[in-house]
Amino acid sequence: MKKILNDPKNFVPEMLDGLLKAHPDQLTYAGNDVHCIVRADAPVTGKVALATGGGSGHLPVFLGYVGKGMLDGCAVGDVFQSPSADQMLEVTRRIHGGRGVVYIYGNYGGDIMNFDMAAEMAGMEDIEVRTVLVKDDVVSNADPDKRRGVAGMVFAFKCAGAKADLGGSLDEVEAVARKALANLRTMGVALTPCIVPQVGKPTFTLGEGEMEMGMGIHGEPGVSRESLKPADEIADRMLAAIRSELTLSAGDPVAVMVNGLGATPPEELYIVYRKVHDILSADGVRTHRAYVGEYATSMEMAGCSLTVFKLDDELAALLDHPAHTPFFTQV
Amino acid sequence: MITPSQVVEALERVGRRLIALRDILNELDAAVGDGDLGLSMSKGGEALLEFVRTTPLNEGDDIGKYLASAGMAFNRAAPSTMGTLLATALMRMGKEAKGTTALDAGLLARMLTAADQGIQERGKAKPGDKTIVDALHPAAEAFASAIAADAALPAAAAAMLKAAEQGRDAAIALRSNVGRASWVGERTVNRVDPGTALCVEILKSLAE
Repeated sequence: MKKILNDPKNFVPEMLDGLLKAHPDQLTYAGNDVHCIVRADAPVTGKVALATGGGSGHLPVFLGYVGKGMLDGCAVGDVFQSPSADQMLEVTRRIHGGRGVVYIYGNYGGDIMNFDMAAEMAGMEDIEVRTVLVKDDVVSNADPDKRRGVAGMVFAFKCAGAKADLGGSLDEVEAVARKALANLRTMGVALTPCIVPQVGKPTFTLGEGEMEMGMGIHGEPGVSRESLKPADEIADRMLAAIRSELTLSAGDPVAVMVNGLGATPPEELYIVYRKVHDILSADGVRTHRAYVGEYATSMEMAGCSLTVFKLDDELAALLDHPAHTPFFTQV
Repeated sequence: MITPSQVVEALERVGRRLIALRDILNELDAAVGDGDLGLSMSKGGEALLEFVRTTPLNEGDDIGKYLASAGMAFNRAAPSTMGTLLATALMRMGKEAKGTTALDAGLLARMLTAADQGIQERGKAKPGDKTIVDALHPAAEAFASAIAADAALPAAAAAMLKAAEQGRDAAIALRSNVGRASWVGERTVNRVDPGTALCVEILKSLAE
């Protein structure tokens, strides 16, 4: 393991301390616990609040999207570990602006157990909570309800956050999050593993010259391990997997995200984007916005994911709405 | 009617019982799981004692909110699967009792039913899976039907305990279907499920 670290067990608190010191105008924390990250101006009175949470090791997911126009708070766990129900409840209490809270997070067992507990407890305190699970990783399970949540959650944060910013009700914000997620799919490929600091060893091994299609962002097994293919072929296959479920016709507007998993340089991501764009344009699909960069990572894993988000007028307008967070700015 | 001070005493009894059961539960768990059930339950028990020491419940206070907060305190100290399930039970009982300042027999029956349902939902287990549900579910049913038949509280509690013990014993022959114990499958047959044993002990200390 070769990482810039102090004591590995302080990895998460030291990272959070640095983040809070770098962005004091945008972020603070609740309940005397740096794992409970909230907007500096929380609670925003009269606005539906949005919260997420999950393990560390995926920046900018999850906490990087806390800020104006997106999320109000985020409970942060240890690397790849769920935060506690208590931490999620602290976040919920602090961000509640009087109109309810929507939780949007990935479909992982530990997170669900803890966030459901927090939601129940918030209900006891008369804070209404709605839960929307992200299940966009298209090849992670044949059953859509058992799929993992990955980079596509950023679009749900963006659209639901915009709806809340524009004064939407709890029902409306929840509905937008669900609509966005129903219209997007993600597929990924991994080239190298990642190392959890406290473990110190790679979570799996991939041979030199090998790639794994469909691998999860914690190293969960994918659909096929094979020799590394050219960028165009990878792009083509990821897009085909997505389009097997997301019907795109000529004239449809979409947003496209090519996301780096942590160790793949932006140059390579643009090579993948180029091919995706060309295929879509050849079919008359109109790219409304493109996002190329790191949005949801897995420590120092090399590889990328592709998310395609089919838009309508409402979703396009919400996507275009300004947002300003430490990791995501749209003007 | 169960008064606030009786609620506090019941939580104290459960807390003390969980601490006392540490070695027995560890041993039962070691046969089918990773052997730390007693450890996490004794931590949860200590948290309950600490909670009642530091959180007063006075006449007129909301018993439901108190129980739900006790559940959160328990889960903080015992974040294991069983810890989360028992915390869920406390929270669901609290939800059922929200806004009340004393508990009557009908409400107690609904609270126990809510605890049973909560554990089944959160743990994704049903009767027959060889889990805590195999003791809790028949106990909740027996208690509710005794109360519905106008039985006095001590008689209903006795029926509840008997059903829990029978459920625990009937589950011995089963094979574990969910949770960590299911990983060792066949090895769980003819062994007491630690969750059912735990459930009987908790119900006993509640009934005292």
